[in-house]
Amino acid sequence: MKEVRIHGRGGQGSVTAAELLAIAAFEDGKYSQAFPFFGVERRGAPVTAFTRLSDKKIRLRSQIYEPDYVIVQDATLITAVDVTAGLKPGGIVIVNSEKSADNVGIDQRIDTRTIDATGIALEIIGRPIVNTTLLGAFAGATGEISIESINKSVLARFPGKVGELNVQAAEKAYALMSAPREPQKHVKQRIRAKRESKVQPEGEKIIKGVIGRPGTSEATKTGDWRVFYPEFDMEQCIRCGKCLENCPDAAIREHVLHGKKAEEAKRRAEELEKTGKIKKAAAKKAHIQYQLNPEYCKGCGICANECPIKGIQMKLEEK
Amino acid sequence: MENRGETRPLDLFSSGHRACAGCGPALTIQAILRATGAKVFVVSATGCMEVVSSQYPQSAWNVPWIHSLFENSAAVASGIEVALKVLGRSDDGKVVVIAGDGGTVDIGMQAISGMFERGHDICYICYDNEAYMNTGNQRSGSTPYDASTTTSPAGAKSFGNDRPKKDMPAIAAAHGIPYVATTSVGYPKDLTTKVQKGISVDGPAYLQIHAPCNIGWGFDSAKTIEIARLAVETGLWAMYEIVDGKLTNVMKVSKSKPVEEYLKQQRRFAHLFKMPGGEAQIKIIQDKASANVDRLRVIAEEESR
Repeated sequence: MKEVRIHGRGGQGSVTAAELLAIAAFEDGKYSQAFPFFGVERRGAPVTAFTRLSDKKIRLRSQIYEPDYVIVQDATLITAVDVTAGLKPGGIVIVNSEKSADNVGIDQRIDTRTIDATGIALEIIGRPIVNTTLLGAFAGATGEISIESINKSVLARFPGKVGELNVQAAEKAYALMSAPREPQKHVKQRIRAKRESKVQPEGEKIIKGVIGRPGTSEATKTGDWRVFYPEFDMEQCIRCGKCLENCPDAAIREHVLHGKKAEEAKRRAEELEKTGKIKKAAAKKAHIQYQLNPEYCKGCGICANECPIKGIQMKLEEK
Repeated sequence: MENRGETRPLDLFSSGHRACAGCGPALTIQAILRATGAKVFVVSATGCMEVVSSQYPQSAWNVPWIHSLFENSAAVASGIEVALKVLGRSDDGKVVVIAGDGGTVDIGMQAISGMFERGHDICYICYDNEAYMNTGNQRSGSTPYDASTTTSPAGAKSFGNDRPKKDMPAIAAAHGIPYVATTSVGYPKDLTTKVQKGISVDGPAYLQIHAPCNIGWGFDSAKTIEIARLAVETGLWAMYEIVDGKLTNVMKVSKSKPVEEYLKQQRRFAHLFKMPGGEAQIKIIQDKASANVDRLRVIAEEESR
């Protein structure tokens, strides 16, 4: 029996990936199981899903604690979640990242493979939905499942054009991952789980059953949920405050410049106004700056949509 | 958490909460707390906003906050209000309930009715995202006509939810409470004014705030505010106050937009544009919206006379 754990973010299709993999295993004549970790999943929040594949009937019904394979749909999860916890000796970790395996922040002793699934998905599917691409990569890297079965399973779930594009993306990833590679690294022992991640601010003691202090959710940096980030054009900005008012995560802040910095900003703005590049409303308030707090912005795009001068552009986050 | 030289006051609903990107209800809570200020005791019913704001051992709330159950937020709030009175601490702050539409119009109904009846000095605020979104979009009494949810799915024999949206503000008003109002997250100024009125009134107040959920309704996360405004501009969400039993301060929709503009942007109504007979259904929805707009116009005109 082989066990697979998929780490993703809510909305990335981790649970769907686990199910597609299980269905593909049926197609290959295997027994399989797929199920999610039950929690309060929100779009962008870390989530986990599991798949078991076996030639024999699977009696086990527990969560997967010691996976043979781990799929990481979003490399930013590596710092937030203990993705390699319990990995079996000889286990493989597949990470969606542009970086090389040595640079994604996973223990160097572990056989890690990276693939730019976001790039492939954006190029072929046109959306950063990476689950099917990563299944292709999984088939290529592990040989546990045939790409034909992955394709069948994807097409059954997403008939028509959408399914075909997903199959193309999966096949591209399969080809990339099944290419010959250097000898594999091996870990002799099971990878131990790290101690529970820090959820409380520095110096704060966790008292069981008690929420110690108000406002402590600030210790959770939700900024790594986002795919896109807003870029502000502070020269054109008329400082109406709509973006501040409409940020569900209070991630946009107003800073007022003082002294020399304020004078400098005003002077620059007046020059721009003279040349007709910016409006008077913008020039008058040049000393006020709006700044994004990247630690919390989830990239929803409301600010860009509400900006009356269209001075906010959503840009793809580089991960 | 010091206020690092920024002009904006400390957020009473702090960053790091786990709401989805572009969450309408999260925006609603921020707006509510900006309007109330720090002198409030918040009681939350079970629901999205309770779950995302209190993942143990953290809390997003910078005001005194308690969560109990789906059904009894109004009862818990009543207890707090009476306790404050007995202790002579009523000036410490107003008791405010923040609950979703499921916890309000369905499960919490009897406790709310009791709270209104007993005349507690509590401001009850319902953020209305029109279904049980915490558990994945199940129909509630507040789900609008023809919306497809997981428990009222559109299909070969169904256009989705076949019952009208429950008129909770009218039910609240029928209790004879001093202040009832509806508003929307798409109109922050209106929201602020009404929340402030709600907490300043002596006795029970009920507010219902329309708050789009991009995941459950199926639209792009950037459009939360746009969709909220469209609901008002099409006449499908009416904004008004009922002060001492009298309907007043209605927001007049002078040139209402066709309901299609609102419906076509949302996955929960997508079937209306594909299924045979969908057009007739859209007409039914349009008629409701038009009736709404007309009714409010008449009241607005009477008032301005």
